[in-house]
Amino acid sequence: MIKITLTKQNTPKLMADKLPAIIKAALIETAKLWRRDALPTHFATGAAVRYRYQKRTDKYQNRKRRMGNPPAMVYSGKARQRMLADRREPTGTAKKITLKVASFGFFNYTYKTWPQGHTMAKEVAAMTPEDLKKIHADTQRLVTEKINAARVFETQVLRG
Amino acid sequence: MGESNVSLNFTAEMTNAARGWAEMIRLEKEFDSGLKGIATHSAAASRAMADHMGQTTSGIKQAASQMDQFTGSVKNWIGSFVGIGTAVAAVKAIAAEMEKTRQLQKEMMGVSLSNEQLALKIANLPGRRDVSKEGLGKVNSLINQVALSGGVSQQTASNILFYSESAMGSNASALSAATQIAQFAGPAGLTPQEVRQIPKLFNLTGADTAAKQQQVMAKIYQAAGGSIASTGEYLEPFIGQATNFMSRGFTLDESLARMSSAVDVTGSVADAGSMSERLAAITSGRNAKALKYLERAAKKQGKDFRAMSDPQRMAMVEGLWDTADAAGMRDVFKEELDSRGYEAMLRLFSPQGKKKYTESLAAISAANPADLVSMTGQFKGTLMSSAAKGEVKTSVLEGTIGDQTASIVKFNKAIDEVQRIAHARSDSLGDFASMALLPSGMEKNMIADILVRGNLKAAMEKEKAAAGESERYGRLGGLLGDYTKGGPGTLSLNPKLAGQIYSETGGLTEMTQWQPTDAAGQQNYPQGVGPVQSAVKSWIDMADKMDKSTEAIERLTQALERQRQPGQFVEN
Repeated sequence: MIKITLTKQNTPKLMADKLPAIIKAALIETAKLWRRDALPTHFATGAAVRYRYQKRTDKYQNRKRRMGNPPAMVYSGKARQRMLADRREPTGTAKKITLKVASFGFFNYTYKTWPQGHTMAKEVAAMTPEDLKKIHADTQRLVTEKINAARVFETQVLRG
Repeated sequence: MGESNVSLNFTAEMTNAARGWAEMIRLEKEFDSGLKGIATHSAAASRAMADHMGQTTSGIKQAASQMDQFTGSVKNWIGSFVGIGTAVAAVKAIAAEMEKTRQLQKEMMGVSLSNEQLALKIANLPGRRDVSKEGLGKVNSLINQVALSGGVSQQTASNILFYSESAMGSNASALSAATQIAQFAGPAGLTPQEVRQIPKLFNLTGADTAAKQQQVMAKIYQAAGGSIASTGEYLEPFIGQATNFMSRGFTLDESLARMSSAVDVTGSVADAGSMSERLAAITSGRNAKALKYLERAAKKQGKDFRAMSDPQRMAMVEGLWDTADAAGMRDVFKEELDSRGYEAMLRLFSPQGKKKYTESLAAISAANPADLVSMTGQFKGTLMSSAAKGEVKTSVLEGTIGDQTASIVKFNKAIDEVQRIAHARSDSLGDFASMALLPSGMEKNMIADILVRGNLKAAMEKEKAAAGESERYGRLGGLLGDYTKGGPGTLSLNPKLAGQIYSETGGLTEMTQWQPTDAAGQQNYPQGVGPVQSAVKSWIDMADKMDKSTEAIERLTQALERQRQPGQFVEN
């Protein structure tokens, strides 16, 4: 009689139930990373080119020039301050995580700029291909780390 | 200013992830059922062996027949299990062990065979298949020829011929090899059991290389500090590759120095073999693209690449590498040659690799010039003295031949190995999922771990029992060519490796944990999720070598690719 004790840990079968929770946690962390790393760059110098913001009206630009040319999307700086200070936990499921960032009502207003108008909320959420790549890589890494860190065992005794 | 929120959605496309996962679960199920199959069959075979072995000849035959069935079952099972490359390799290795066990059963039966019976066996070998009176007459004349050439008995000569022809086929090469072995074994008066070890020690693969291998063996034997078991088992890849190098026109010393340098940068003899082989191949224009590139480069220097010998080609490529390296443009080799060849160049043409090569070449060339007669004499002398002590050398199974229970022990050990592999493989799902990311060197090491460690460890245990602590360490130091103290002085291997051996009491665990480093000493194999394309490619290369179904490989590759893309992200 041969007895084989097979101890399995974190195999796909054992992990099947845990996968959604892991993906959810990974997406939440990715969203936080985006808020930490990518969001501030939307208010930085050069953001208008990088994120292809709609050109503002001449009147508005002249006004900003008189104020000493603050960076894109920054006029008084209050909205930027409010958005960067928000530390709310993202919510959602493994399929979709929503990250809310506090702002002001004018962010959702569609300005009548030429040629097609702009909404600042959309501009804040704009992503470059590099951003998307980083988000993908972050999620991938986080999922792998979490799977590796999990500890699910199953012991099976085979007898022949 | 009214307050509001900006919302961003991060979404994961679960369908693909789930599909990939389902595929992984299916493969896991196959793995489970395969293990159950192994347990059932091995138990049946073990029971049969326990019942029959050592009692009657027919009993042994039945046990061997059971082993046949078992080996066949494992092989069949492997056929359906191609999806999980590593497990296939592991079980394949175990199946090979089983095959060896079965061979041993046959050998045991052969011990008591008369000369006539052995002649009959030889006449029955594939390629000969002539048991007529004339056929047997021819075989007997061959046996006589071997016996006369070495002054050995008819019994020993027939044994040698049988082994040579089994290993190399019934041809003139086998006869030539058998004659060489007889000349070697004759004056020493070896027993049939000892004679059996010789073809293995000489790594018989072809008569034309046998003489070269003998040179390499003698040199390495000196470096190994007199441990035949280590020389034969552990350094086998070393010998094979060094011989291969020599067949390309490099000298013995250059071959050994190159291997030594490769061992230093890879930390493993098996990897050193494949890496130096790859280097030799790539520098001689391994594929059409590389050949074209190198020809163009040679033309610029006013040389004809095709007319150059392999050593000249390597020197030229090394020069090109140095120039490109200085200009920070060595990536061009990656594109123009191939990525694995590039990896080999990166390691072996690194300052560390070059330094080691130069040092080794000087040490090897200076110490003990090729005095084959005295080396062979020493080799024989040690073989004899080991025989006198009753040590078992390079046997497939532990224990002495005739110790029937050893087979069962080995059997159980093989099953333990399956369990160990299964455990290691499923140790973490990340590993399981990124199994394809393991570099092929690690795969090889895992297999080497199974095949080599057992035998070497057994040999070391025996040495440990026979010798005192200091002597044992001396032997271990000798085994790897003590780099720091000079050791036997003929061959310098990896000092780090030697240090690990010192710290482990006879264990090879550390050695088999391959941790390749680049010139800066950084680990450079993919950790966790790495460059999938190249990793999957190397995995496919490995599986291809195993002659397995490409369809199944494709399936798993797709599953892995899907698994790697759990999400697609949108913004709003």
